[in-house]
Amino acid sequence: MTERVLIVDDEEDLRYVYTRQLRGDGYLLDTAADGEEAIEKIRATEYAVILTDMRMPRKDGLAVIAAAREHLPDAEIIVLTGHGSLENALQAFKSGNIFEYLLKPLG
Amino acid sequence: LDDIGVFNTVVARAIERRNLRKHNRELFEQLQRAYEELRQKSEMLIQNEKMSAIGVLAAGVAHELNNPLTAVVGFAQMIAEKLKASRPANWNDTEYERAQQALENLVQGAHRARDIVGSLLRFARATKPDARSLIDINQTLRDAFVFTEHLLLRHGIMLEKRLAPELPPVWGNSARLQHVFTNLIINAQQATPSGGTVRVLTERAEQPKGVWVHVEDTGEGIPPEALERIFEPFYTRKEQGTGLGLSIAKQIIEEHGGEIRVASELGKGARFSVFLPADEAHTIDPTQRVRVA
Repeated sequence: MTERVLIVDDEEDLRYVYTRQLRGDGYLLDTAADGEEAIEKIRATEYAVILTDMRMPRKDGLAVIAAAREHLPDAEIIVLTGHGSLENALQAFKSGNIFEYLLKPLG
Repeated sequence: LDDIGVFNTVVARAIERRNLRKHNRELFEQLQRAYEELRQKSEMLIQNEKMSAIGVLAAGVAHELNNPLTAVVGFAQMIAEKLKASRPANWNDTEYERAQQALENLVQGAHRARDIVGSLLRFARATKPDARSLIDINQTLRDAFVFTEHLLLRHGIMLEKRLAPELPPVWGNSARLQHVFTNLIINAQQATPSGGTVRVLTERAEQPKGVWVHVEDTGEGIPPEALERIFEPFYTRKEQGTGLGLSIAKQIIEEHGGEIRVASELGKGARFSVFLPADEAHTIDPTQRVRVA
Protein backbone atom coordinates (compact mmCIF):
# COMPACT_ATOMS: atom_id res chain seq x y z
CA MET A 1 0.00 0.00 0.00
CA THR A 2 1.26 3.45 -0.86
CA GLU A 3 1.34 5.74 2.18
CA ARG A 4 -0.14 9.19 1.98
CA VAL A 5 1.81 12.13 3.32
CA LEU A 6 0.25 15.53 3.99
CA ILE A 7 2.45 18.62 3.88
CA VAL A 8 0.98 21.65 5.64
CA ASP A 9 2.68 25.06 5.24
CA ASP A 10 1.36 28.50 4.38
CA GLU A 11 4.41 29.31 2.26
CA GLU A 12 4.08 28.08 -1.27
CA ASP A 13 7.85 27.94 -1.82
CA LEU A 14 8.31 25.68 1.15
CA ARG A 15 5.48 23.38 0.07
CA TYR A 16 7.27 23.18 -3.26
CA VAL A 17 10.65 22.35 -1.65
CA TYR A 18 9.23 19.65 0.61
CA THR A 19 7.23 18.12 -2.18
CA ARG A 20 10.17 18.04 -4.55
CA GLN A 21 12.37 16.56 -1.86
CA LEU A 22 9.99 13.68 -1.14
CA ARG A 23 8.82 13.11 -4.69
CA GLY A 24 11.17 10.22 -5.35
CA ASP A 25 10.37 8.27 -2.17
CA GLY A 26 7.20 6.60 -3.40
CA TYR A 27 4.54 8.31 -1.27
CA LEU A 28 1.30 9.89 -2.35
CA LEU A 29 1.94 13.54 -1.55
CA ASP A 30 -0.74 16.03 -0.69
CA THR A 31 -0.49 19.66 0.46
CA ALA A 32 -2.54 22.15 2.43
CA ALA A 33 -1.91 25.92 2.59
CA ASP A 34 -3.30 26.49 6.09
CA GLY A 35 -4.69 24.72 9.16
CA GLU A 36 -8.27 24.86 8.02
CA GLU A 37 -7.56 23.15 4.70
CA ALA A 38 -5.34 20.59 6.45
CA ILE A 39 -8.07 19.67 8.93
CA GLU A 40 -10.58 19.21 6.11
CA LYS A 41 -8.18 16.84 4.37
CA ILE A 42 -7.37 14.97 7.58
CA ARG A 43 -11.07 14.31 8.08
CA ALA A 44 -11.40 12.80 4.62
CA THR A 45 -8.16 10.90 4.00
CA GLU A 46 -6.05 8.39 5.84
CA TYR A 47 -2.58 9.95 5.97
CA ALA A 48 0.33 7.97 7.38
CA VAL A 49 2.41 11.07 8.11
CA ILE A 50 1.52 14.73 8.52
CA LEU A 51 4.25 17.35 8.22
CA THR A 52 2.98 20.61 9.62
CA ASP A 53 4.13 24.14 10.19
CA MET A 54 3.05 25.71 13.48
CA ARG A 55 2.31 29.33 12.62
CA MET A 56 -0.34 29.58 9.94
CA PRO A 57 -3.34 31.75 9.12
CA ARG A 58 -6.78 30.43 9.95
CA LYS A 59 -6.20 27.31 12.14
CA ASP A 60 -2.60 26.86 13.39
CA GLY A 61 -0.40 23.77 13.76
CA LEU A 62 -1.80 22.89 17.19
CA ALA A 63 -5.28 22.62 15.71
CA VAL A 64 -3.90 20.41 12.93
CA ILE A 65 -2.24 18.14 15.50
CA ALA A 66 -5.44 17.92 17.52
CA ALA A 67 -7.47 16.98 14.42
CA ALA A 68 -4.92 14.35 13.46
CA ARG A 69 -5.03 12.86 16.98
CA GLU A 70 -8.79 12.67 16.74
CA HIS A 71 -9.24 11.30 13.23
CA LEU A 72 -5.99 9.46 12.49
CA PRO A 73 -4.77 7.80 15.67
CA ASP A 74 -2.08 5.88 13.81
CA ALA A 75 -0.62 8.85 11.92
CA GLU A 76 2.82 10.20 12.80
CA ILE A 77 3.25 13.95 13.07
CA ILE A 78 6.39 15.85 12.14
CA VAL A 79 6.49 19.49 13.20
CA LEU A 80 8.35 22.01 11.00
CA THR A 81 8.90 25.37 12.52
CA GLY A 82 10.97 28.54 12.20
CA HIS A 83 13.35 29.78 14.91
CA GLY A 84 10.91 32.41 16.01
CA SER A 85 8.29 30.05 17.34
CA LEU A 86 10.07 27.83 19.84
CA GLU A 87 7.40 28.40 22.40
CA ASN A 88 4.79 27.21 19.98
CA ALA A 89 6.85 24.15 19.17
CA LEU A 90 7.14 23.36 22.86
CA GLN A 91 3.38 23.43 23.08
CA ALA A 92 3.22 21.03 20.17
CA PHE A 93 5.51 18.64 21.99
CA LYS A 94 3.37 18.88 25.10
CA SER A 95 0.27 18.04 23.07
CA GLY A 96 1.79 14.59 22.78
CA ASN A 97 3.58 12.10 20.67
CA ILE A 98 5.24 14.21 18.00
CA PHE A 99 7.52 12.02 15.91
CA GLU A 100 10.12 14.68 15.10
CA TYR A 101 10.65 18.36 15.40
CA LEU A 102 12.48 19.96 12.48
CA LEU A 103 13.78 23.51 12.50
CA LYS A 104 13.48 25.70 9.45
CA PRO A 105 15.26 26.45 7.32
CA LEU A 106 15.99 22.95 6.17
CA GLY A 107 19.23 22.18 4.35
CA LEU B 1 19.27 20.94 9.63
CA ASP B 2 22.51 20.78 7.70
CA ASP B 3 21.44 18.27 5.13
CA ILE B 4 18.01 18.27 3.55
CA GLY B 5 18.52 14.53 2.91
CA VAL B 6 17.81 13.96 6.61
CA PHE B 7 14.32 15.18 5.84
CA ASN B 8 13.70 12.07 3.73
CA THR B 9 15.07 9.81 6.45
CA VAL B 10 12.84 11.38 9.10
CA VAL B 11 9.73 10.94 6.97
CA ALA B 12 10.70 7.35 6.12
CA ARG B 13 11.16 6.52 9.82
CA ALA B 14 7.86 8.15 10.67
CA ILE B 15 6.14 5.99 8.05
CA GLU B 16 7.84 2.91 9.46
CA ARG B 17 6.74 3.64 13.02
CA ARG B 18 3.21 4.45 11.91
CA ASN B 19 2.92 1.19 9.99
CA LEU B 20 4.22 -0.79 12.93
CA ARG B 21 1.78 0.87 15.27
CA LYS B 22 -1.09 0.29 12.90
CA HIS B 23 -0.10 -3.35 12.49
CA ASN B 24 0.11 -3.74 16.27
CA ARG B 25 -3.29 -2.26 16.77
CA GLU B 26 -4.80 -4.53 14.15
CA LEU B 27 -3.16 -7.53 15.77
CA PHE B 28 -4.46 -6.45 19.14
CA GLU B 29 -7.98 -6.12 17.77
CA GLN B 30 -7.72 -9.55 16.14
CA LEU B 31 -6.55 -10.95 19.44
CA GLN B 32 -9.46 -9.39 21.26
CA ARG B 33 -11.92 -10.81 18.77
CA ALA B 34 -10.32 -14.25 19.00
CA TYR B 35 -10.41 -14.06 22.77
CA GLU B 36 -14.07 -13.14 22.80
CA GLU B 37 -14.86 -15.98 20.39
CA LEU B 38 -12.88 -18.38 22.53
CA ARG B 39 -14.69 -17.27 25.65
CA GLN B 40 -18.06 -17.89 24.02
CA LYS B 41 -16.93 -21.27 22.69
CA SER B 42 -15.63 -22.33 26.09
CA GLU B 43 -18.90 -21.38 27.77
CA MET B 44 -20.69 -23.51 25.22
CA LEU B 45 -18.25 -26.36 25.76
CA ILE B 46 -18.90 -26.24 29.48
CA GLN B 47 -22.60 -26.36 28.77
CA ASN B 48 -22.12 -29.34 26.44
CA GLU B 49 -19.93 -30.99 29.04
CA LYS B 50 -22.71 -30.62 31.58
CA MET B 51 -25.10 -32.18 29.10
CA SER B 52 -22.78 -35.17 28.63
CA ALA B 53 -22.44 -35.56 32.39
CA ILE B 54 -26.22 -35.56 32.68
CA GLY B 55 -26.28 -38.13 29.89
CA VAL B 56 -23.92 -40.47 31.74
CA LEU B 57 -25.94 -40.03 34.90
CA ALA B 58 -29.17 -40.66 33.03
CA ALA B 59 -27.78 -43.84 31.48
CA GLY B 60 -26.68 -45.07 34.91
CA VAL B 61 -30.05 -44.33 36.47
CA ALA B 62 -31.89 -45.91 33.57
CA HIS B 63 -29.90 -49.13 33.72
CA GLU B 64 -30.24 -49.34 37.49
CA LEU B 65 -34.00 -48.81 37.25
CA ASN B 66 -34.59 -51.24 34.41
CA ASN B 67 -33.81 -54.43 36.38
CA PRO B 68 -36.07 -53.75 39.37
CA LEU B 69 -38.77 -52.49 36.99
CA THR B 70 -38.66 -55.72 35.01
CA ALA B 71 -39.00 -57.62 38.27
CA VAL B 72 -41.93 -55.44 39.37
CA VAL B 73 -43.79 -55.94 36.09
CA GLY B 74 -43.01 -59.68 36.00
CA PHE B 75 -44.09 -60.38 39.58
CA ALA B 76 -47.16 -58.18 39.31
CA GLN B 77 -48.26 -60.09 36.22
CA MET B 78 -47.57 -63.38 37.97
CA ILE B 79 -49.67 -62.38 40.97
CA ALA B 80 -52.39 -61.04 38.68
CA GLU B 81 -52.61 -64.40 36.89
CA LYS B 82 -52.73 -66.27 40.20
CA LEU B 83 -55.45 -63.99 41.52
CA LYS B 84 -57.44 -64.29 38.32
CA ALA B 85 -57.37 -68.08 38.60
CA SER B 86 -58.74 -68.19 42.11
CA ARG B 87 -59.87 -65.83 44.83
CA PRO B 88 -58.06 -66.36 48.15
CA ALA B 89 -60.45 -67.97 50.62
CA ASN B 90 -60.27 -65.23 53.24
CA TRP B 91 -61.01 -62.31 50.79
CA ASN B 92 -64.47 -60.97 50.09
CA ASP B 93 -65.55 -59.76 46.61
CA THR B 94 -64.71 -56.09 47.26
CA GLU B 95 -61.24 -56.89 48.52
CA TYR B 96 -60.69 -59.25 45.60
CA GLU B 97 -61.71 -56.62 43.00
CA ARG B 98 -59.76 -53.87 44.70
CA ALA B 99 -56.62 -56.02 44.76
CA GLN B 100 -56.98 -56.85 41.07
CA GLN B 101 -57.49 -53.18 40.21
CA ALA B 102 -54.49 -52.23 42.31
CA LEU B 103 -52.35 -54.76 40.47
CA GLU B 104 -53.46 -53.36 37.14
CA ASN B 105 -52.56 -49.85 38.28
CA LEU B 106 -49.21 -51.15 39.46
CA VAL B 107 -48.46 -52.68 36.06
CA GLN B 108 -49.56 -49.51 34.29
CA GLY B 109 -47.38 -47.40 36.58
CA ALA B 110 -44.44 -49.69 35.94
CA HIS B 111 -44.98 -49.41 32.18
CA ARG B 112 -45.06 -45.66 32.45
CA ALA B 113 -41.83 -45.76 34.44
CA ARG B 114 -40.34 -48.02 31.76
CA ASP B 115 -41.26 -45.45 29.07
CA ILE B 116 -39.56 -42.72 31.08
CA VAL B 117 -36.47 -44.89 31.44
CA GLY B 118 -36.62 -45.43 27.68
CA SER B 119 -36.64 -41.67 27.14
CA LEU B 120 -33.72 -41.30 29.52
CA LEU B 121 -31.77 -43.99 27.71
CA ARG B 122 -32.37 -42.47 24.29
CA PHE B 123 -31.24 -39.15 25.69
CA ALA B 124 -28.15 -40.68 27.28
CA ARG B 125 -27.16 -42.64 24.20
CA ALA B 126 -27.15 -39.54 22.08
CA THR B 127 -25.35 -37.19 24.46
CA LYS B 128 -22.02 -38.02 22.87
CA PRO B 129 -21.55 -34.82 20.88
CA ASP B 130 -21.13 -36.52 17.52
CA ALA B 131 -23.50 -39.47 17.90
CA ARG B 132 -25.94 -39.23 15.01
CA SER B 133 -28.73 -41.49 13.89
CA LEU B 134 -31.99 -41.39 11.99
CA ILE B 135 -34.48 -39.58 14.13
CA ASP B 136 -38.22 -39.38 14.24
CA ILE B 137 -38.67 -35.79 15.41
CA ASN B 138 -42.07 -36.64 16.91
CA GLN B 139 -40.36 -39.22 19.15
CA THR B 140 -37.71 -36.68 20.14
CA LEU B 141 -40.51 -34.29 21.06
CA ARG B 142 -42.37 -36.96 23.05
CA ASP B 143 -39.13 -37.52 24.98
CA ALA B 144 -38.90 -33.78 25.58
CA PHE B 145 -42.51 -33.80 26.83
CA VAL B 146 -41.60 -36.48 29.41
CA PHE B 147 -39.16 -34.02 30.95
CA THR B 148 -41.26 -30.87 30.67
CA GLU B 149 -44.94 -31.72 30.93
CA HIS B 150 -44.99 -31.92 34.74
CA LEU B 151 -43.35 -28.48 34.88
CA LEU B 152 -46.10 -26.95 32.76
CA LEU B 153 -48.84 -28.69 34.73
CA ARG B 154 -47.37 -27.41 37.97
CA HIS B 155 -47.61 -23.85 36.60
CA GLY B 156 -51.18 -24.33 35.43
CA ILE B 157 -50.23 -24.27 31.75
CA MET B 158 -51.66 -26.61 29.17
CA LEU B 159 -49.34 -28.39 26.78
CA GLU B 160 -51.04 -28.81 23.45
CA LYS B 161 -49.37 -31.28 21.11
CA ARG B 162 -50.17 -31.36 17.43
CA LEU B 163 -47.72 -33.79 15.93
CA ALA B 164 -48.15 -34.42 12.23
CA PRO B 165 -47.97 -38.11 11.26
CA GLU B 166 -45.46 -39.51 8.79
CA LEU B 167 -42.68 -36.98 9.17
CA PRO B 168 -39.58 -37.66 7.11
CA PRO B 169 -36.69 -38.84 9.28
CA VAL B 170 -33.92 -36.42 10.19
CA TRP B 171 -30.24 -37.38 10.48
CA GLY B 172 -28.95 -35.99 13.72
CA ASN B 173 -28.18 -36.16 17.40
CA SER B 174 -31.48 -36.78 19.18
CA ALA B 175 -30.23 -35.73 22.64
CA ARG B 176 -28.98 -32.42 21.35
CA LEU B 177 -32.22 -31.82 19.46
CA GLN B 178 -34.20 -32.90 22.51
CA HIS B 179 -32.15 -30.36 24.45
CA VAL B 180 -33.22 -27.66 21.97
CA PHE B 181 -36.91 -28.56 22.19
CA THR B 182 -36.79 -28.90 25.98
CA ASN B 183 -35.24 -25.47 26.12
CA LEU B 184 -37.87 -23.95 23.84
CA ILE B 185 -40.70 -25.53 25.85
CA ILE B 186 -39.24 -24.34 29.17
CA ASN B 187 -38.77 -20.83 27.74
CA ALA B 188 -42.38 -20.89 26.55
CA GLN B 189 -43.50 -22.02 30.01
CA GLN B 190 -41.58 -19.19 31.65
CA ALA B 191 -43.17 -16.64 29.33
CA THR B 192 -46.70 -17.90 29.86
CA PRO B 193 -48.90 -16.95 32.82
CA SER B 194 -50.97 -19.57 34.62
CA GLY B 195 -54.01 -20.62 32.59
CA GLY B 196 -52.15 -20.16 29.31
CA THR B 197 -51.21 -22.68 26.67
CA VAL B 198 -47.96 -23.84 25.18
CA ARG B 199 -48.47 -25.41 21.79
CA VAL B 200 -46.02 -27.70 20.02
CA LEU B 201 -46.68 -28.42 16.36
CA THR B 202 -44.84 -30.42 13.77
CA GLU B 203 -45.32 -30.28 10.03
CA ARG B 204 -43.79 -31.68 6.89
CA ALA B 205 -41.94 -29.34 4.61
CA GLU B 206 -41.59 -30.11 0.92
CA GLN B 207 -39.38 -27.37 -0.54
CA PRO B 208 -36.81 -28.12 0.75
CA LYS B 209 -37.80 -31.46 2.26
CA GLY B 210 -37.76 -31.50 6.00
CA VAL B 211 -39.61 -30.97 9.23
CA TRP B 212 -40.86 -27.83 10.93
CA VAL B 213 -41.30 -27.75 14.68
CA HIS B 214 -43.13 -24.77 16.15
CA VAL B 215 -43.24 -23.95 19.85
CA GLU B 216 -45.84 -21.28 20.60
CA ASP B 217 -46.81 -19.60 23.81
CA THR B 218 -49.56 -17.23 24.85
CA GLY B 219 -47.23 -15.09 26.96
CA GLU B 220 -46.39 -11.43 26.88
CA GLY B 221 -44.43 -11.59 23.64
CA ILE B 222 -40.95 -10.29 22.85
CA PRO B 223 -40.24 -6.63 22.00
CA PRO B 224 -38.71 -6.03 18.53
CA GLU B 225 -35.32 -4.87 19.88
CA ALA B 226 -35.00 -8.12 21.86
CA LEU B 227 -36.06 -10.22 18.84
CA GLU B 228 -33.02 -9.00 16.94
CA ARG B 229 -30.60 -10.10 19.63
CA ILE B 230 -32.34 -13.11 21.08
CA PHE B 231 -29.97 -15.71 19.56
CA GLU B 232 -26.80 -13.81 20.53
CA PRO B 233 -24.65 -15.49 23.17
CA PHE B 234 -24.99 -13.95 26.65
CA TYR B 235 -28.06 -11.97 25.66
CA THR B 236 -30.76 -12.61 28.22
CA ARG B 237 -33.98 -11.04 29.45
CA LYS B 238 -34.23 -13.26 32.52
CA GLU B 239 -32.74 -12.26 35.83
CA GLN B 240 -31.14 -15.64 36.37
CA GLY B 241 -30.50 -16.35 32.69
CA THR B 242 -27.08 -17.09 31.22
CA GLY B 243 -28.08 -15.97 27.75
CA LEU B 244 -26.76 -19.23 26.38
CA GLY B 245 -29.89 -21.36 25.94
CA LEU B 246 -31.05 -19.93 22.62
CA SER B 247 -27.56 -19.34 21.25
CA ILE B 248 -26.73 -23.00 21.90
CA ALA B 249 -30.07 -23.98 20.39
CA LYS B 250 -29.18 -22.02 17.26
CA GLN B 251 -25.75 -23.61 17.15
CA ILE B 252 -27.21 -27.12 17.45
CA ILE B 253 -29.85 -26.51 14.78
CA GLU B 254 -27.24 -25.08 12.42
CA GLU B 255 -24.99 -28.09 13.06
CA HIS B 256 -27.93 -30.10 11.70
CA GLY B 257 -28.14 -27.95 8.58
CA GLY B 258 -31.38 -26.41 9.83
CA GLU B 259 -32.51 -23.00 10.95
CA ILE B 260 -34.31 -21.43 13.88
CA ARG B 261 -36.58 -18.41 13.69
CA VAL B 262 -38.65 -16.39 16.06
CA ALA B 263 -41.76 -14.32 15.55
CA SER B 264 -43.67 -12.43 18.19
CA GLU B 265 -46.41 -9.93 18.69
CA LEU B 266 -46.35 -8.00 21.95
CA GLY B 267 -49.13 -9.09 24.27
CA LYS B 268 -50.01 -12.11 22.16
CA GLY B 269 -47.11 -14.48 22.60
CA ALA B 270 -44.16 -15.81 20.69
CA ARG B 271 -43.49 -18.56 18.20
CA PHE B 272 -40.14 -20.28 17.76
CA SER B 273 -39.83 -22.30 14.59
CA VAL B 274 -37.16 -24.87 13.89
CA PHE B 275 -36.55 -26.31 10.45
CA LEU B 276 -34.59 -29.53 10.09
CA PRO B 277 -33.77 -30.92 6.65
CA ALA B 278 -34.97 -34.44 5.85
CA ASP B 279 -32.28 -37.05 5.76
CA GLU B 280 -31.41 -38.12 2.24
CA ALA B 281 -28.24 -40.19 2.35
CA HIS B 282 -29.10 -42.53 5.19
CA THR B 283 -32.73 -43.29 4.41
CA ILE B 284 -31.93 -44.79 1.05
CA ASP B 285 -29.16 -47.11 2.20
CA PRO B 286 -30.48 -49.59 4.79
CA THR B 287 -26.98 -50.86 5.68
CA GLN B 288 -26.12 -47.41 6.97
CA ARG B 289 -29.07 -47.55 9.23
CA VAL B 290 -27.84 -50.82 10.72
CA ARG B 291 -24.36 -49.44 11.18
CA VAL B 292 -25.44 -46.40 13.14
CA ALA B 293 -28.16 -48.09 15.19
